[in-house]
Amino acid sequence: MAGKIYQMVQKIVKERSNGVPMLETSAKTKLLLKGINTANYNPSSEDDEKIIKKLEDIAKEWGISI
Amino acid sequence: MGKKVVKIVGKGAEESVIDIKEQLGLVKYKFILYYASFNLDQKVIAKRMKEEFIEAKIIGCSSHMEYDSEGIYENSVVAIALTEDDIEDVCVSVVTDVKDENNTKDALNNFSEYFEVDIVKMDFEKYVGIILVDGLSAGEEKVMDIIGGKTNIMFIGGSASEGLKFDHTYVTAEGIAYEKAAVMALFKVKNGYDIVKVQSVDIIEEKLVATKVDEETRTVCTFNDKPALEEYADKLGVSKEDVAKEFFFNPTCLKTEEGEAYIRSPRVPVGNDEIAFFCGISEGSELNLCKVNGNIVSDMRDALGKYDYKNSKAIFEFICILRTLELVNSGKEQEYAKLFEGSNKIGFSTYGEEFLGHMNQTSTMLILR
Repeated sequence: MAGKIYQMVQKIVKERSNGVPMLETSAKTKLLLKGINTANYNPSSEDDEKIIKKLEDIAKEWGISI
Repeated sequence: MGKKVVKIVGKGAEESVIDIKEQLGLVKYKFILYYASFNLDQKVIAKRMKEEFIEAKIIGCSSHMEYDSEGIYENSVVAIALTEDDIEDVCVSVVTDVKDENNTKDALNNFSEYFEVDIVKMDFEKYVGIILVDGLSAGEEKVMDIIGGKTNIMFIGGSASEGLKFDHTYVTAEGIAYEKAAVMALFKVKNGYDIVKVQSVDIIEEKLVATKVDEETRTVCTFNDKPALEEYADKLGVSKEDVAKEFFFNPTCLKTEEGEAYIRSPRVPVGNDEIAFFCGISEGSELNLCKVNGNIVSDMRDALGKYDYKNSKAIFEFICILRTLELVNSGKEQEYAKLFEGSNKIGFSTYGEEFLGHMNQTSTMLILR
C-alpha cells in the first residue's frame, strides 16, 4: 500500500494551520523536529508502519483526529 | 521618564539592583526582563528585583556575557523594562520541572486563565511569548514539544548559561530563582511582532540519518546504520581520532523545505562509536552536515534588513554561546553590537536557543513592533 503517510501529513498540517502559510511552515517544522520530514512524502510513498504510528501519536498529542 | 534598557557592569548583586532601580526611575513598569552574569548571586538578584519593582512582572536568568545595543559585557546585568505603552498586557508562568509534561501544560493553562482565552485558540498574531529554560536541564526539547503541540503561539527564547563550568544555571520569575525549570512570559502585543532566526553555516548535501538514538541522553549511536562517530568522520574525510576537533566547525542540521537549518551541534564523543549532542535528535531524522561560514555579522545584518527594528519597542536576542565565542575570538563583537545601535535591545549568550523547538549555534530574536 502507498500514500497513507502523505495523506496523514496533509491532514495534520491542514488542521493545524487552517491554511495560514506561517502556521503551515511552523507545523511542518515541528514535524521535522520530531523526525518526520514532510518533504520526503508524496502520494506514492510506500506505507511504513513505524512512521504511521509516529504520526498517529503526534495527531493525538496535537488534538487532531485522523 | 527613565530609560528602557540598562546595563550594570562589574558590581555585586545588591548594588546592581540598586543601580537598575536608579536608572529605570519611578515609572510604573508592566514587565522587566533581565540577564545576570553567572558570577552574581541569582537568588539575591531575583528577590531584590521583585522588591524594587513590585508592580512589574519579572523574569530573568543566569548568563555568560550579556548584550545591549552598545556592546557585549562580562560580569554584568542587562535589563529591559516595558510599560503599558509597549505592550497591551503580559502574564508570567513557571514550569517548575521541565521533565514533567504536566508542569508545562499547567503553565500554559495559566495563560489561558489569565487572558480568558484558551491557549489552543489564541490568535498567534496578537500574542507572542518568551521562554527561558535551565540550560543544564536537558529538558528544552520536552517543553518546546509540548508547547508546540498545544498551541500555535510562538515562544522564542534561550537556555540559561554560566561560565562553561556546567554546574548550575538558573531561571527566575517573580522573585524566585529556579533550577530544572523554565519561565515564560506571554505578551498581548500592541503592534505585532517579528521573529528573526539566524545561523551562520553553509549546508553540505552529505546526509546523516540518525538510525539509532538514545533520545534521553541526546546521543546518536548510529548514523546510516554505522557507528555514529565513524560515519560522521568518514563524511568529513577526517580520522576518528581527530573528529572531535571538527564538532564546532561542522555541526549537523535538520533542513526544512524552505532550506532553513535547525542546527544540532555535536558535543562530545561517547566511547569509540557514539556522539552526544547539545540538542536532541529524533530517531529516523535525516540530518545534513554543515560548515560554519564565519559570517555572523553579515548574516545578522542581512536578516535585520527586512525589519524596522531600530524603531521597535523592544528586541530580545538569544545568541548561542558558541556564536558569542566566535565573535569574541574574531574580534567582531563591537561590529556585531553596532548593528543594533540605537535600538532597545538586550541579549545573552545561551546554552541553546528556542523557536518551535530547541537548537544550537543560532540567534533567535523577538522584535516587538
